Amino acid sequence: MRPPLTYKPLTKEHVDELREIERDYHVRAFGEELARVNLDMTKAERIRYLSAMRENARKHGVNLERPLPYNFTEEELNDEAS
Amino acid sequence: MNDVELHEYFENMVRTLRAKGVLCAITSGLACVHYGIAESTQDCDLLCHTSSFPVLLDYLSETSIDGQPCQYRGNISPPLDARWHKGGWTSHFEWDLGAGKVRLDVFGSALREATPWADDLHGFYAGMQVVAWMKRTDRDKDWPFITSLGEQLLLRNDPRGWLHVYDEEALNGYLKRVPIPDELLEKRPALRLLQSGHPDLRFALKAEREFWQELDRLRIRILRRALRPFVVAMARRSHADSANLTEAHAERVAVADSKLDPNPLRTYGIDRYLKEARENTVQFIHPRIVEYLPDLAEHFQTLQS
Repeated sequence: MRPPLTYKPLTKEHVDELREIERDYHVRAFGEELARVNLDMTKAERIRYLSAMRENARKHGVNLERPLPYNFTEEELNDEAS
Repeated sequence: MNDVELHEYFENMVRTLRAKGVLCAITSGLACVHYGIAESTQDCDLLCHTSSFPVLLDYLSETSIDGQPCQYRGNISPPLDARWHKGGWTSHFEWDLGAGKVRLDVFGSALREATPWADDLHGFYAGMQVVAWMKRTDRDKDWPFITSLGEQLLLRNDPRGWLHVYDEEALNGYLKRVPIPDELLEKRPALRLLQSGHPDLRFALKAEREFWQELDRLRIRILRRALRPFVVAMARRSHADSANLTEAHAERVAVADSKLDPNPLRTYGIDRYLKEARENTVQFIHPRIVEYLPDLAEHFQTLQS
């Protein structure tokens, strides 16, 4: 579906208003810190922030493995083999 | 390779594949990071046109990360073959780096896409709308990303954003500033409640989300059941996967030929699937809200063909 041609270009004032709504939502949904990561950092800074976060999680024994698809568990897969 | 390098690695992978004529794009978590929504993942989800699978498979079989070869993810991954991907399956690959595994999931079609994903690309990435459809999972954690992607579309003056914002307060904010095209009112009836300032809006938003999540729960249940004979047959082979990805792939196709339904949702019946998910959703919501559930058939049309 293509956007209708009747949409006028956004003015700077308009964009600022939409950005304010967006920021309010990010704070509500993700919290103040991640809202800043999302909206104030460059992509490179954001990736470095996430990398540091994951490294810290790993150091503290957090399992960052992606779960198996379709809700399978390792135990189920081992059972299938026997 | 650290997370920063991995992100660059996957972007370079898309660059290289495109130079070989492969139509592909990064989607899901890494795409969200690209679009300014932090999601903690180092794994890559890749959309790839099914006609390009042979080239992608050759590429993966020749590619290593930190000296480790790419392999299928255990016995659970369907083969990278158009027959199964056109029926909604995904292929799962990994590089075992010892300290952890790097994962790549390949999608031949974008889950829940209403229009071809290849028509909506953004550099190395799938378009925001494609990512937003794919994020409509049964996992609660995915839903704030959908709203954020919708907001970004509206910020880019793209009214399709109206289909993806699920936050009542944000919707009311946008209503004062961005008109809703009539065609989107038809696609998403809950927007009529927004326009009229009706207090049922918040109930309709929850109902919509429950409907999408029920569809995903049911989809997973159907695919899981269909995958089981394949997983059992793979597990009971007398030998492990060949270290050579091309050989492992050929064997996987041979097992899938007899043990894996190429299109379990079509076998189950797309209409039956949609009807059941709707009926399950209706159990949770007040009867007056039912008329605001959207018709989602177009999101599963590609599976019918």
